[in-house]
Amino acid sequence: MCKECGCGCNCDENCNCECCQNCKPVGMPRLNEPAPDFEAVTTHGTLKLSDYEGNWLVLFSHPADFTPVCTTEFVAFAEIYPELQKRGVELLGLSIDSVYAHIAWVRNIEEKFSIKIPFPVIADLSQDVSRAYGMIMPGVSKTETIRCVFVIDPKGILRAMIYYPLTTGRNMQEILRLIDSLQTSDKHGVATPANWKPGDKVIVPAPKTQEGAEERLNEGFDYTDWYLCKKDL
Amino acid sequence: MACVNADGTLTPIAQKVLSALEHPASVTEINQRSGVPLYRVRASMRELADLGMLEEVSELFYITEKGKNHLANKLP
Repeated sequence: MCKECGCGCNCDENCNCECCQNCKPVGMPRLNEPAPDFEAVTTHGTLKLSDYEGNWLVLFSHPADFTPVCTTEFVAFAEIYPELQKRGVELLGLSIDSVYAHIAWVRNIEEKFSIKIPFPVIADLSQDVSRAYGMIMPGVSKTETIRCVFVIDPKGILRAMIYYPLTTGRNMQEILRLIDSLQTSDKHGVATPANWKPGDKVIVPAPKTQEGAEERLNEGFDYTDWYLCKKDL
Repeated sequence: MACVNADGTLTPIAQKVLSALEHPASVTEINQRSGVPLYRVRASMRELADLGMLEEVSELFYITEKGKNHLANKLP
């Protein structure tokens, strides 16, 4: 019997039948809270979220192996991997495919594009990880993960999420920009404005008192108004 | 298994990790000595410990005789 809906499908807790998959709860992680823990089979062996402690982690999902948009994304992720490494970031892919499908696809990409996929890919056949992270949107597909990006900091805290539909390949420069912004904010206690990129002015946190607002004009910032001041780093 | 091949020999990653244990070391030191990414060091340590090839005492890892034999290709 399905534990969730009580129907008589005669399945155990590891069942992957459509009824059980549809009944498994779908979580939705929240920013600035611990990222959902997992232990998963990957193309690099069994990995736990805690294995990444001390590094930033970009966990991303794709709909399926051997599909066109996903293939262009994997090539693009591999291309930015050296830039991510400079920032102390590891990459971890995921889809609801077997580890053998992942291995075959990664080898095919290497053959067709002459680029090695240097990061592991989770084979989430049980959908345990994808459901904990809200990667499945039943309105889009019940059997595929959509294009999600989760940025997890070195302490395991979820710091950013991006969700893309199946038809839109992700922008790697935006992922790098997001990480640069998070790391800059952490290091300097500032925020970053729209379209910010490293080297641009950053936003000084707005004062929290009327006295602070009055002093702001005299603090040497690039002053638009008391609540919007920028500075160079 | 990510550390042991089907024929019982160690994978290149496992060889690097065990080779970095000439002296007892922490996970971070093994990462620095071997050049293996931190997440893979942790995952490999877990698997190699399960296989009895290393031991952990007070957050320091020691290679066992079984680990040394595997590293020298002297399989049990």
